Amino acid sequence: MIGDKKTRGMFVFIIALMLVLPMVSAGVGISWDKESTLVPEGTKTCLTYKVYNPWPTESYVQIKLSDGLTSLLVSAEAETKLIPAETSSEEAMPITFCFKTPTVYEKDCALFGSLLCKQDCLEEMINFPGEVEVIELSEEEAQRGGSGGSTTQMSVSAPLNIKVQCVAHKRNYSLVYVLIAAIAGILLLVNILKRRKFKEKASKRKIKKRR
Amino acid sequence: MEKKFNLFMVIVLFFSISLIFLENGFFIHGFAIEGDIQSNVTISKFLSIEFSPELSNGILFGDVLFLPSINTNASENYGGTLDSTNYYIQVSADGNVPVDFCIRANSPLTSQYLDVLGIDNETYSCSNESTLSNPFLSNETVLTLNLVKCGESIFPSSSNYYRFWLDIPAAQPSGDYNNTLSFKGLSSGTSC
Repeated sequence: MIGDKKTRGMFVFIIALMLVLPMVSAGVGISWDKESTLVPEGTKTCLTYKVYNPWPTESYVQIKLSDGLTSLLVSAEAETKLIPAETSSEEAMPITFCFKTPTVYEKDCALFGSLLCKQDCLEEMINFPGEVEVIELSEEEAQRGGSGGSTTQMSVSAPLNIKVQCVAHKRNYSLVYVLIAAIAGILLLVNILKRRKFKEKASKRKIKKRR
Repeated sequence: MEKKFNLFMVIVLFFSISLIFLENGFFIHGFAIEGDIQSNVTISKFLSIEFSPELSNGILFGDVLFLPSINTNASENYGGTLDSTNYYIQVSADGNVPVDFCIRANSPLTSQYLDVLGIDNETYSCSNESTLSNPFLSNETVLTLNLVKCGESIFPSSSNYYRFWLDIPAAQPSGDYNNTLSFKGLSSGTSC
């Protein structure tokens, strides 16, 4: 009889748990104030997005960049982040990404293809369109039975357009001037040293002659 | 002769160093005073979504005992009040933009023995309200591997409702078939 009561109690508990468990589902939110950014080519820049979860269950999220942007990614914060339940948009948690824009515009170089370069910036601005996606990771796999079915995954995303700025500059001849200055300096130094040695020898000869 | 050469080298050296400074603009200084007033605005957008508990638990088609089976209902297609669907995604009131939804499957339904149920056998329909008939079977769309928009301009505090159906041909090998459906929420007007 006692065993029966225990079994019945366990049965009620399991039923209650089964009723409560499916009611639990987590959500995910994203907050952003920038959809495009202008970055000079070859420079590193960081962007911050915010994630939040105004829903009653905490959630684990992962940040992902669309394929067009992953090649530019230098660093990103921890891949998986826990967002506590009831985190409002005002308390949103920041997540930072750093990008390094590639060198995309052609330069006109006079020497060895990489020295004495100038950049006119006549080409159109190059864009890297993409998006930042925040994916919610379920803690448990969905229950499956019979002929199976589809598990579900949710995400939210914000558009991000990285515009690479071309920085126009004239040909810089500094290297040539440095080389000329160096050659002139060396020749001057060699000449001065030669002259000094010659003077020393001459004075030694004079001393010998006197003796 | 030697003195002249040295003098020439000193002049070259002096001019080269001067040119280096000139080239890099070390001698140029400018001072400007202007009376500008800045105009500035920061536009922030934020949105949050949540699955219904049933959608969070996955889309189950149960045991299919008779084949072929056409338009097999997912278990919660009519599980809500007044036979509405229990598959929905809520848009949080803590958001300031309407939300569009995109949906895709990661693969066709596939068994553990790698038998495949063609992706065009799994269909869905969506609506911004749910009744006995809405989302309509007549509006069913075949799932694809690419994101497709279903549900546009869903405002904060409202939901996007879904129903799912499955066709199973008679020749389909028995087994448990699974895949993953991804739902993405994005600011209204943005492409998937």
